[in-house]
Amino acid sequence: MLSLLISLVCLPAHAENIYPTYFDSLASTTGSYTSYKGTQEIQLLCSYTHPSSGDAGIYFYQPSAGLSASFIHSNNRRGTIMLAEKDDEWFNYDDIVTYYIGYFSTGSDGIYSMYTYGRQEAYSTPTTIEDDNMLELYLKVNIDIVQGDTSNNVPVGLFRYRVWAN
Amino acid sequence: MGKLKKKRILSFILCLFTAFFALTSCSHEKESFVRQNIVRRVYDDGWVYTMTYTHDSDGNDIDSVPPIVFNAINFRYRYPADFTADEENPGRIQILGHGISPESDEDIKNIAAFFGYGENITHYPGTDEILAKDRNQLQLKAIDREVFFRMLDEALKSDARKNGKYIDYPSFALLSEPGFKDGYSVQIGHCLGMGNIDVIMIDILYKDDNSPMGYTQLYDLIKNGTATPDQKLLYEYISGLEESIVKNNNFKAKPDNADKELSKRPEIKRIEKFLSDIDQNNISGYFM
Repeated sequence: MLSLLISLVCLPAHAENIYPTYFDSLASTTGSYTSYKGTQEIQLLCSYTHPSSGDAGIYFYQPSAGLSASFIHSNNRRGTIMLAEKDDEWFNYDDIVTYYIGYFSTGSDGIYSMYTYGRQEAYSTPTTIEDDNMLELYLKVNIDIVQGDTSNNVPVGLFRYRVWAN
Repeated sequence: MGKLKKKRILSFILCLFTAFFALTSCSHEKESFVRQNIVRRVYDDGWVYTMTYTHDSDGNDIDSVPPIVFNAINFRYRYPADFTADEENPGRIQILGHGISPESDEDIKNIAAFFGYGENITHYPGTDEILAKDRNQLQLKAIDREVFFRMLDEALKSDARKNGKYIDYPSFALLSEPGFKDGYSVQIGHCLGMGNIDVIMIDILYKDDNSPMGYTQLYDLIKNGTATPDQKLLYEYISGLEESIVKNNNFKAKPDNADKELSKRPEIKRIEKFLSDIDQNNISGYFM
């Protein structure tokens, strides 16, 4: 799959910089992490150099595709979505900026999906994730297996998202 | 036969009998499998109402799974009529309860309250509990109340769907080719019931800078009587194709008595390629 690598150079004069393009989540396998590195990578300028783990995050949006009938529509299912910052140097591994827990339920619209997301701080104290002010961000996603599932193939479009940086 | 040999034979037979008895009498719990009874109402304006009753193979509720679910999704029109296209728009699918109208938003909330499901709920009411509710308590403004309760009764009485070949595929999606090529884009909306194709709506979106959406749909040209004879033939072919796909539960089905000349048209070729990709569950390149 071609790598999707896009830069946003012009920085608006407000505190939060939201990447304008929305992305659909990629297909994945339940019970293990799927990395979006090399497939959906987003370059986003931060307001200042040496951003820390509190300076970037994800906004989630309504999905456009339904989870297959192979999945038990249980509200015990969780999704873990990590936001990582790519460094790709042998002495500098990629940083986990933060991660979110997505809670599955059947919403008032009758659709089974992740409706609420709780941000979990990766570190008890903020850690510098980049030496300059250009973030290279990507996701790692893991959707839980629930007993009774007859498939582990999560379709593309389970959720829609944008990334932001301070 | 000596006494010792008789004893051995008897012992062997006794062992066999004991083993057979042990194997056949040991009780094991029945496996529970998810079953769904699914009822749909399909409207010409693209709205598909769905009532789903989920239970196990014994007809019992499944823990932490809502037993009865209602939703309404539009598979023909991605945007509402008053929508203004915005480059930043993330792509849409119209689902009742998400700002389509204040009345339908309220209806969906009231239905959710009636069924007892929502984002933060940890325990769903059982089927018996739902059925015991006073139906007069649910008042609807946008959704036909009679249709709603008729669908509910049908879902409870109908047979569970057998698993179809597309069980592993997204249960619904509204997809279109990204951008316009040769002045048009193909759009396909579909929903599956336990892996069976229940509804499919195929349309051609003609680029139209005068339209707020940026395109005009073939279906609308037919509906308002402005379609050319050529477009009418195309529409008839597509309608036959939709019927055949649902009837045969196969995204790659051909229409009955397909017109050979029409089937060679570039629009049809692109539709077939699109359907083939859906059949392979290869939809990541399409606009959702």
